[in-house]
Amino acid sequence: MENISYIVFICFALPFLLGIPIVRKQTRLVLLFTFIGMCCCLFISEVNGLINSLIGQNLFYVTTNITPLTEELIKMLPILIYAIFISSERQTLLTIAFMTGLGFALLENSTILVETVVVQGSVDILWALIRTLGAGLLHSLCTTAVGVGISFIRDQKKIFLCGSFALLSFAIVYHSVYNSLIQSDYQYLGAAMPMLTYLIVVTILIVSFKKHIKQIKRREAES
Amino acid sequence: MNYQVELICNGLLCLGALTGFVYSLIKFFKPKKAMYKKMVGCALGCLFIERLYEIVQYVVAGDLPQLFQIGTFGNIGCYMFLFSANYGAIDSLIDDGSAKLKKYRLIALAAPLAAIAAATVILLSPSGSGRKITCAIEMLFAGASSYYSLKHLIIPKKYSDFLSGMRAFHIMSLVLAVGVTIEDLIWCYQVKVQAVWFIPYTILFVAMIALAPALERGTKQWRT
Repeated sequence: MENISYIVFICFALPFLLGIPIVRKQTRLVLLFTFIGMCCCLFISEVNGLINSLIGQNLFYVTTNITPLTEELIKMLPILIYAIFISSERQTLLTIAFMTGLGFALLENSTILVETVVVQGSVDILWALIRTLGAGLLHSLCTTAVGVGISFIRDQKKIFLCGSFALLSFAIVYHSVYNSLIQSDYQYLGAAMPMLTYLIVVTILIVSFKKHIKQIKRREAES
Repeated sequence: MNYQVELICNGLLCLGALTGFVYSLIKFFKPKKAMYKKMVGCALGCLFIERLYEIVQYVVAGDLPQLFQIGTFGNIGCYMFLFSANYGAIDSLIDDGSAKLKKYRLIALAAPLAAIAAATVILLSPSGSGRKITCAIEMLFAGASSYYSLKHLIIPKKYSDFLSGMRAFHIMSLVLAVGVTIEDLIWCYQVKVQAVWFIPYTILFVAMIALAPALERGTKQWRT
């Protein structure tokens, strides 16, 4: 089936675009960056195909050593542009970074789902869970990590430059490890990796939030 | 080097980096903790993910890629975090750009010069061009990071309170860079003697384990 990614893009991404003028500002941003994430996925699938044909290496090498680099770079760009020209407000940047990754994963998963159904005839729930909790979380977490670095763009420029690049490097290698594991016999380990990271991040956020609330209550009681 | 020995050594290094990373997650990633500490924790995270990449490549593909290998970004990320921590977070508090510190700035240039020399030696090695270029680029980042580590190590304590107690941490940062340099040199010159390989692995293991506790100890002395 040719142009499958374009067909999937039209089916899944265009409704997001159509919803943008209708909804309120904060939701609009969420929809817009989910759509941008999908556009990034469509664009990079073409670029990766081109690179694959140019370097003439096997698919495993390309997916573990080239595509993590190109994908993380392309996902970073919309957040960087938003931070430079529109706003560097930290919470907004983290939200749009997460949504860009989510949009990317949404189109990638949809395309792979259609391709797998066409080739294999069917998929099961386990497959869907691995794809969603694995690749879905992976793209979102990696882009959010880069978003953390970009959020220093105005406050601490020295940290922004080096920190963003360092976080991008981390995200690239993390993505590569995931891609290597998910294509091997240890695919469950690969799927568990983003899930474990997600749980750690959520736990840290909940603990920090609880501490923050406690501090506010203590201050209120003191005053 | 023997595949199994390589795998075990990388496994131990991964464990060392993970220990340092978990230690820093517990100690440094708390609200109101200095950004400097968090960045050092992230540097250890990069080292961990780089070693994990190597282990996964050995297990899944049988060997590391002969061409460009993306795991190098882990080491580069580590150096960038250390650079960012030293240059972005505390250098302006230590070095005000005055002439009295010029001597130390000049001496510290030895670190990037040594890194450039190592990169040149690597580029002259008989290894494949992809591997050579990747390692040489890594050396440049190591040099940039080591400049600040060496500078903050040699500036006398009297010039800034931030230097007090941080010597062990800066020494460990430099040891880390030396370990990676030796590993890259051995790798590019394809040294067959197994005993030689244990030198960088031992150095790196010690540095990975000691880096975060050394920082914690140093920053405790800041407050007192």
